[in-house]
Amino acid sequence: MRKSTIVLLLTLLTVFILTACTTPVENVVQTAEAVVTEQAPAIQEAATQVAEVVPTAAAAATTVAETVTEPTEEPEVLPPGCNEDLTGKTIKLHQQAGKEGPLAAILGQAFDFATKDALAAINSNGGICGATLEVVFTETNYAAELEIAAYEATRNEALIIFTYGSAATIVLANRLNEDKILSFAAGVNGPAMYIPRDGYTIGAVPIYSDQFAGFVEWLSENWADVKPAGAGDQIVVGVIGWANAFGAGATTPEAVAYAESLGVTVLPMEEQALSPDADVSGQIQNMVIQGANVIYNQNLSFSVAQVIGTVRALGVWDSVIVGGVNWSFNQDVLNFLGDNARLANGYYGVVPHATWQDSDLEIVQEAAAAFEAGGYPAAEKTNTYLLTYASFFAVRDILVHAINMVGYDNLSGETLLAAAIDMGVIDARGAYQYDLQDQYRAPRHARIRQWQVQADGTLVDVAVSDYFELPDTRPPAP
Amino acid sequence: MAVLRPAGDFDRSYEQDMGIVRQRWQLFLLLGAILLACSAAFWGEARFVFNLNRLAYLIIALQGLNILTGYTGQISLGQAAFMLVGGYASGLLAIHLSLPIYLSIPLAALITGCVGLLFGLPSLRVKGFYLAMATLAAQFIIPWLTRQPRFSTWLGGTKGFIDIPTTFLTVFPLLLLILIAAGIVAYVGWYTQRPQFQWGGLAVFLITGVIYSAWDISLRRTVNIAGLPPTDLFAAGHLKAFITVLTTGVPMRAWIISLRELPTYYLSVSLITLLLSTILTINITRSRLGRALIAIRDNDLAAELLGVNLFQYKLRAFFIAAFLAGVAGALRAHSERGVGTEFGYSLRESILFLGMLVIGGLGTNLGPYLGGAFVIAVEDFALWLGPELALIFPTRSAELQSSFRPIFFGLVLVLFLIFEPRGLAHRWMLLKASWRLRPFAR
Repeated sequence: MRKSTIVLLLTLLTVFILTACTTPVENVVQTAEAVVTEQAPAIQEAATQVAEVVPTAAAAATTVAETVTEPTEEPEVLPPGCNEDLTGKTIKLHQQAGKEGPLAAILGQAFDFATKDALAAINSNGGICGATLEVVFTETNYAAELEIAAYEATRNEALIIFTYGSAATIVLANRLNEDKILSFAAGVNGPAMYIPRDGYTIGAVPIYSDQFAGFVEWLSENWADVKPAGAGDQIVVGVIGWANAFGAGATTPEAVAYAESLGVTVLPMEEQALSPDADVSGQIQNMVIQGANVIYNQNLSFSVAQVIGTVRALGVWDSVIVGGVNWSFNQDVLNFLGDNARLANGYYGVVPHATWQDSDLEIVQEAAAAFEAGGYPAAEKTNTYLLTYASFFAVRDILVHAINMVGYDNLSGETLLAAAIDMGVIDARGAYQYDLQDQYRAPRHARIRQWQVQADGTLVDVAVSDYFELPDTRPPAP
Repeated sequence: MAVLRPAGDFDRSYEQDMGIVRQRWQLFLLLGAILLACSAAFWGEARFVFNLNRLAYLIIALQGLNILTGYTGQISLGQAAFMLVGGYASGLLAIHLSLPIYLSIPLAALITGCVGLLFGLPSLRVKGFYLAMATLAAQFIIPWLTRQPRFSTWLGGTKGFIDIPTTFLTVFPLLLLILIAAGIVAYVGWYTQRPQFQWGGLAVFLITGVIYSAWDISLRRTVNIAGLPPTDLFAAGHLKAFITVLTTGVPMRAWIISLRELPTYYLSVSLITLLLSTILTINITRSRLGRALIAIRDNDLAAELLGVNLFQYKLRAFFIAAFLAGVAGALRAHSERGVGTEFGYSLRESILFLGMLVIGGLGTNLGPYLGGAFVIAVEDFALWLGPELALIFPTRSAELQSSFRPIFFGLVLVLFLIFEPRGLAHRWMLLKASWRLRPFAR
């Protein structure tokens, strides 16, 4: 190496040292904290002296007050249910997701519409104790690198972050725990959420292994009624899922062990390429050859349509039960099937929330009205819209509870989580319930629903079970 | 293109002829840029710092690919997979052998280099697109292997990733200061023919390195860092005592890196590594090895007739490419604090690497810098522009948000390849030549 190169290298390293050794702001803060800690006894002593004087001062004040005219000001009117009036303030929430590319169909435009409508509804009804609720969106394309980038850019100001993919849940879980930022995750990866047990990620739906175990439990209890013609008494479940953490999320060792404890055989998972033009005929045939009489989809969007189309094309639809995780039971699947949507007739889904069919619920009526008022395309009337719409009301309740508990100035991820845990069960106005009891941080109940063709030819999702508590298949705490 | 120099700019010595930085103003410009980059963590926005770190390890991977594709003419579609190997290797070394990153990263790079050799073996028999297909195998086999349930304990299996513990970078600045001071003393001693300084500096250099390594390893063994460290990791009692003893008189906290500061330090590590890899690649390309690689690229038959051992040199190129991919992968894995297919490392990335290299300029040392920076900048610009346009055109909001970036990005690439097929580095050389020839340049 030449002399100039060495000089250059050494100079660079010196420059680096100079910059690296610069005391970061945090250290200054820490030093300030140390000073405060050191001075604390003196301050306390001074405070004690002041406290001794206070009764005398108070007595004097009372004497003066007696001579003063009664105040004419009206008492401050607080927003209903709040201990503080935050009018004029803004509370920002952060969303990071992918609105572009083939995976954009997962959220669709419905996600945007619902966010906008829910914010409008909340803010027009007093906001959060008077404060305006805002949402800042960051595009991540569901790429882990961009999820981290988006997080790094917002973590210093974020109170609550909404994420929408398993990759985001996985890569951010530890960061959220360290930075103590509350996150609502749609990608409910069990290990990411529950290792360690006391994390900061709250699942929008039950973790995938719970959903799978719940579906298997329901099948085993109702097998005689629902089993396909020709199927024996033995339930053999073939699982097809994406070749990633989301795909593997259902068949965790705990969920498989639970299924086996019910006498249900679970075949090794068949991987499906995450591509709009993937061919799954090999995987379906493989499962059927191995005796599968249940095909469980741990995928979503176009991939579910691929499975439904292929099972139909192979002529095995009537000899197997086809169902899947909650995200597989969504309007976007029917949108992909288009004119062939009725091919999904008979498809089951584990659904932990209300759907548009639950029109007796106030939140569904309100969401339907907002959707109509928005003039959105019918194809966007998805569970995503309803779930997103309702979720903001649950978050509103958590925020209000936290403000009442600790005050607006002390709002942080930590205090928000404490407030949520204090609430125990957080009801998203009847659409679904977050359960934060017993170190859970996700909904615990679900119904089994099925797409059924009605007499008029329309495809409707019908509840074929009541809400039931899903089995606990959380990964063991380390 | 001939190197044009202003009148009066000529070399007086062989050393001057070999100098990378020829002019004093160039040196100051370079130092300014380095100062700017190194201090980015203190003035830049978080996303900018993240992107800078990403760019740094990306350029290292591109430099490797440039040696293989740009200089040797061997197309590889497996660079992302090699990064995955590097990430896993460094992560596993950190987790299971408790190695600090300055040991785990070079070792991971060597391991990746050996894996690269394996996939480079077909290069003797096949070339061009056929070789691309052979290297494509790496892109399928390696990620597939990492997802196998039988390796789940080590590689994460179907989960798709493993967590990598945050690196102990405690007293990192102090250590570097001592190391650099010792290095300078040793250099000055060697330059001025004073053996006492030369060997004394070297001894301090080595002893400091060994002490730090032993310390770091002992900490890793005594503190639970099987997964990610607990948040109070740096508050462990024995650690506090240990640091207090070692840094008596110095405020303890100043030498401990909190988790919030990690991106800053990963950026520093990435930039130092980038500097080293740049020096390495520049020197490779102007050495006997580099000339042999270029000869193979330009005409392999002629090169063989001139005595260049094709197989050996092609394998060397594969080794270097995989080695640097390993370094990049390790840096990425540590800064992302996890590695696996869930984090990417897909075929798309490998193809994008080739695209970046073409944009930057194949077979130029500037190419990886310009290509990487250009693509990340365009990507980020499109990410910003899409939503902005959606606000301006609300009736087309959904389409703009969902489809603008891929279309814009693709369009820019296509236009770029049409109007500047030789890459940004070539355009830069033209600009420089025009400047030197002013006012006669067209």
